[in-house]
Amino acid sequence: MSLITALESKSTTEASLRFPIYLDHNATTPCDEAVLQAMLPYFCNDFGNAASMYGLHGWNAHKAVEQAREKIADALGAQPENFIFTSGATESNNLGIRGVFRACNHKGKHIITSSIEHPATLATLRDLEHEGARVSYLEPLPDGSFDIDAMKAAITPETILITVMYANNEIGTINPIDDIAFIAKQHDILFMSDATQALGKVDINLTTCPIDILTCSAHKIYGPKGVGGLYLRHQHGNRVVDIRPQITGGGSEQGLRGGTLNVPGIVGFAKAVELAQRELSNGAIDKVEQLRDKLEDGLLELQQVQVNGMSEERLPHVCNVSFQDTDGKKMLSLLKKSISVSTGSACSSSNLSPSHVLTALGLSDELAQATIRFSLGRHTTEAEIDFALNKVREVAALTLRV
Amino acid sequence: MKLKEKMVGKVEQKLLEMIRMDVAEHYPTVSAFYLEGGHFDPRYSATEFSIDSMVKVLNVANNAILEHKKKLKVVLGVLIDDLGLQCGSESCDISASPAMTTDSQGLAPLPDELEAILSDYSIVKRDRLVLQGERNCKNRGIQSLRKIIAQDLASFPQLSLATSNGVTKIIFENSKGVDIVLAESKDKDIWTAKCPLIMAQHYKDTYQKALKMNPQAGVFHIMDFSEMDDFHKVVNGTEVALGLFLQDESLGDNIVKISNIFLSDFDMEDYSINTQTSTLAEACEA
Repeated sequence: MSLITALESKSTTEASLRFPIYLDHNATTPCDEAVLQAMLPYFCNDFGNAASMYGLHGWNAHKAVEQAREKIADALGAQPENFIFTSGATESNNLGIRGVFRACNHKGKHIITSSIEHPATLATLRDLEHEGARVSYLEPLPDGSFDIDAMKAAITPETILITVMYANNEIGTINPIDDIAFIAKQHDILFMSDATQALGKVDINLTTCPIDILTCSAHKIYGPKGVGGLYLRHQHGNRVVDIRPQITGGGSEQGLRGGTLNVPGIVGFAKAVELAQRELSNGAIDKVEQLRDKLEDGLLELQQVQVNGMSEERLPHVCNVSFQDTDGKKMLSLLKKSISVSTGSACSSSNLSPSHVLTALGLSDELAQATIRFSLGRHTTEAEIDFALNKVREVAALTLRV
Repeated sequence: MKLKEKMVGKVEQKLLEMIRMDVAEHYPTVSAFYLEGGHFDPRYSATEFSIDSMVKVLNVANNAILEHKKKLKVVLGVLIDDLGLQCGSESCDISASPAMTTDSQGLAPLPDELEAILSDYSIVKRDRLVLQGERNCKNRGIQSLRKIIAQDLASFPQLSLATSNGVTKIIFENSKGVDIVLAESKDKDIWTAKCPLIMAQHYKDTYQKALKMNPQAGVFHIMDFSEMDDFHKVVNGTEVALGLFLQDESLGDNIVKISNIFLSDFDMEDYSINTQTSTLAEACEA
């Protein structure tokens, strides 16, 4: 290929890209067109209140919700009656953690978690500390993986809950959930896992893995925002823990969550789960992983780059990298119009603190500031990765501190 | 030379409307407007934001003077990002390029692009342009905080100290009950200023300069342009300025109002404005 042809080909490829290129799918995903189509009838036609099932409108809504529940429960290897709908993972985490503490604090007040959980978990636990909870925040191992020995050592007769996320949202490390669950079961301690980032990326099987409470959200898997779920294991026909609702008013969702159900959102959630399951089984997720690896390998050719969270088990679409000796603020500013990514920067966060995950891994504040999380999605193309890689290389060179 | 009206876009129109309302509400009290744009980092050439915000500020100033004449006073300013800053609890410190040249006040010179824009506007009296540096604000912010801490902390219920893992933080609780960290220290003699403190000191200094230049004014409205990336530190800085630093000022009957204008990175006509006053906070609008 001649130089001119090559340049023309490059500019044609770039012209077909939509800027900024979206590489921030751990923040949220676009609603899939098929999900939207599944939801649409439930706005204007089948708009009934799922709790008013004695009329046709309500009945249709009720049926749609129950079918969605079955579909999601089936994908998780769970029974439908063990799964309830909420407004999202934050609400689910609040319901699970607060629910367990209030139900069990007569037995003990100790909770074990990891220091790199999502703020929905950490802030809830900090709040419960004001109510007498004693929380052990376990530091991760240097590669970002969960320190299971530290967990074993932290267990006391007072421990009522272990709550550890399935996969980390910032660095993508997948925790040894099966091992944690079995250890918790041996000690008769409840185990909860926030699977918000893992759902659709990892095969979750609640039949074989004894997780007691699992939380998730629709918008991370190309579903709508504002809907999520909570799985609560039953044993001998009863819930493993008698948690009380945080939102009262009406007896919906088995009395665990008051309020009119978001029927279009729930239908969309189920469709999104169906699509995600298909991707897991047809190998589409492996293609995303190949693109992630291409991006990561290309970035590692830059000498000042280090990958954060290089544990063996990692989400296939996440790449978290830090740029040493780099003006991180300027780098992110220069990248903004080309690619959408997340940062470990203090300035971009509402509390003006650097990422607690990166600092827990031992990164300096300066390095956290020059950290980018790339999270690829089902629509990410090789051309987008090539462009992103070139752009990052170009900007990294401009902002390198000599 | 007779002023001519400048063509303006959406954000300038919104600011002119805010100025119109202030003047109408407070007249015959003179309103002074401090308009700040052109924010730049002297280590790099002027950015699109720096140039665009400077032009917007000058267009607003030009049209406001044309419309209201002596009913208002206008002060123009530029805040220089001369910290060489890496944000964070450890490294909110100075690592400025040693090659950076400064004037007698320790400030970096304006980029040529900004000087050229300023020279195009007859309303600009170059010697009355207020230039301030974040480095100076940082040092003065710590001094201001030290003075407050030296007093009885009980008289500042919005302030508290918290120590964790050997790091002591000075925390300001804003009107919504959210904690804003102002400074941190591993050694009580050395405090590291956080961004909201730097911005709060900037607003305090700006008020004092505007007051000195316009002692007849009774209403001071600070309008500054910022990039969206700086939203939290700027808005928090405004909260701290009005809730702490301008509380101990002898404001008298004076009213201080601060409007932070954030321009979108993707469409310079797209904006968000956060306005707060020394008497009460107003809603954020876009």
